[in-house]
Amino acid sequence: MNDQHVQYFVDGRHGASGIVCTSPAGRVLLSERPLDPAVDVDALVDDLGEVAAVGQMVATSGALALIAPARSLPGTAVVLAGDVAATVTTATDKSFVRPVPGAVARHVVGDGVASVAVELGAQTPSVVAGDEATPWSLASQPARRLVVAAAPQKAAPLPPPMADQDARVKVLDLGPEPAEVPTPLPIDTLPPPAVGGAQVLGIRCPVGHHNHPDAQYCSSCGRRMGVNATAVLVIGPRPPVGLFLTDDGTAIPIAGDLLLGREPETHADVADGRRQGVLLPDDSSVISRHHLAVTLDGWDVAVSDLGSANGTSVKSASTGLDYRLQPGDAVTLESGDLLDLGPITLRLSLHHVA
Amino acid sequence: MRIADYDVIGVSHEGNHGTYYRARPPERLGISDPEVVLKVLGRRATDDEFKRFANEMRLLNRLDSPYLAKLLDAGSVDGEVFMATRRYEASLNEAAALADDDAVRATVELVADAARGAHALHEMGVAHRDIRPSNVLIDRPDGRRRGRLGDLGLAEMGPGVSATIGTGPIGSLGYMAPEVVAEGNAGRGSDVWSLGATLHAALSDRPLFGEIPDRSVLDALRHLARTTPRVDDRLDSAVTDVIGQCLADRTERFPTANDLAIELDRVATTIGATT
Repeated sequence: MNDQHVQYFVDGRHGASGIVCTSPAGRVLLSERPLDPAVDVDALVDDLGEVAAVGQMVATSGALALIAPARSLPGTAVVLAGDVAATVTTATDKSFVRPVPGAVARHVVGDGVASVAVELGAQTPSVVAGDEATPWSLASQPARRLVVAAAPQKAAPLPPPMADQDARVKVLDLGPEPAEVPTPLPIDTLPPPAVGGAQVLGIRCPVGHHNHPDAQYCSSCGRRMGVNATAVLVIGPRPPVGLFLTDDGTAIPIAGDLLLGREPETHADVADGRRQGVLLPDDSSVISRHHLAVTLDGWDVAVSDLGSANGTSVKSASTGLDYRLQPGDAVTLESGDLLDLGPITLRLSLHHVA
Repeated sequence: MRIADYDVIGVSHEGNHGTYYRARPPERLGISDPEVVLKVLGRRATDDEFKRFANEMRLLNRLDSPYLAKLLDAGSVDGEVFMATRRYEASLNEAAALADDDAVRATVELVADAARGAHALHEMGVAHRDIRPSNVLIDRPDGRRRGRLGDLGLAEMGPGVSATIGTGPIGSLGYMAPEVVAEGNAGRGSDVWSLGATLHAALSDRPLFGEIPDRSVLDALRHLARTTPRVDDRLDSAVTDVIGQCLADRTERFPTANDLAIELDRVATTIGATT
């Protein structure tokens, strides 16, 4: 809780007051009472000075929730950005609002809002908590949930028909005949091709696994290389050379040529089996459908940007230099180098270096 | 919180395929189940993904396999696909059946059922990729016991495409075949491997890979790449033979999950018969 900062604010210009909670994860802004409908929400955010603009918060994967009367329509506006979600309860309905990563969700609920519960995502440290009985008070323990009671409303409107309520929801009719007859998975009857199909010069561990000439421990079994092994270079099938580690702790094994992007299956090299596709989910579309090719040459891992819309940057671990990949240029990476694809950062870890 | 027209009660569990929620089903489904399992892809599906998803959901619905979690509903909300399956009260536990013949036989039968479920997916062209004890669900139709494979992570990947590994709990990496850990390649054989590891974990309190370091996915993957799985030799030899064949090199394994199921059916009849 040390890094968190909670303050009460009064904004005379807009006649607004409430609580701003600031933490490295982002800011939650809650107005204490309904704002004048004329209040420009964006201007209010700007006026609060230290509350960063919505766009910046998204860029730093912060979270923002702003609940205030809507400007243009009658009702309550729920503005969310980052890893945060809100459940809006009215007299007749509940709806769930969550922004897609990198975007700002603006949701206007008609009159009759009973409460808005804001929930910070798992990635976001807890900022502040209260409950329905004691809105605005801080809980002694961090909690992920914050419930804000809205100002009492007069007559609740008639419930909208079901179809309108859930216009965002499409239910799939499971009855019809499947459009395509599936192809069963192949059965492994033949030995799998040597990984990546390539033969490379290397050394053998005491039990015969093929390794990088510089390896001190076998990447397949962890045995220490024999004293004599390093003297004898032999040709053998290339084992997986390493991993790309993502910033969320997951990994991409590198055993052959890869193609990374939002829709790798639509690339010809993936369709015809020359490259393994690796799906990098990204709703903000900063990552391109076909973003990056990873090509093995011997033991070397080379990357090239496939003319992606937002590009790829490399930060070299050995020199500390930061540079942008020119589309089409293949650059050989070293262990520890970082690849910045916008929302996803990949760190290369080569097995023989570890 | 609400997803589509489901009232979400809480998180059921995290899987390699994303987050699974416990939710109250909407009335339009016309079912009496108080709770179902709801899975949301968590990002917008591309048109191709949605087509594949719709196709797979219709196939699953038509197939209605007694060995897979029952599909109840599918659709999209704001472009994110969701699917709802029936919620089953129990699943296989790790180290659940140590020496009791009846418990061992029941476990072997449940894994045989899960293998039939995996086979049904394979025939649809889909690998499960995340078979482990907690995904072998226990259904009790008319007082009998039947295994059903849950957490069907469909539609996320086209042919020739993998995703990052290690998105589920780190412990689940111990149920992944070596070729998945090293190369990201999943198929019939890797699911057969996982079924063998699942059976072992349910029958023994000795983990195949010993203690898997849980500091980071990198440490865990290194440990797995460098450790040879060791089957608990205190188990019934008929069972260790089957597990051994599941964990063998790719071409030495049971060619299909159905072959594994048939062998497990046979082994189940021998357990406790001679002692």
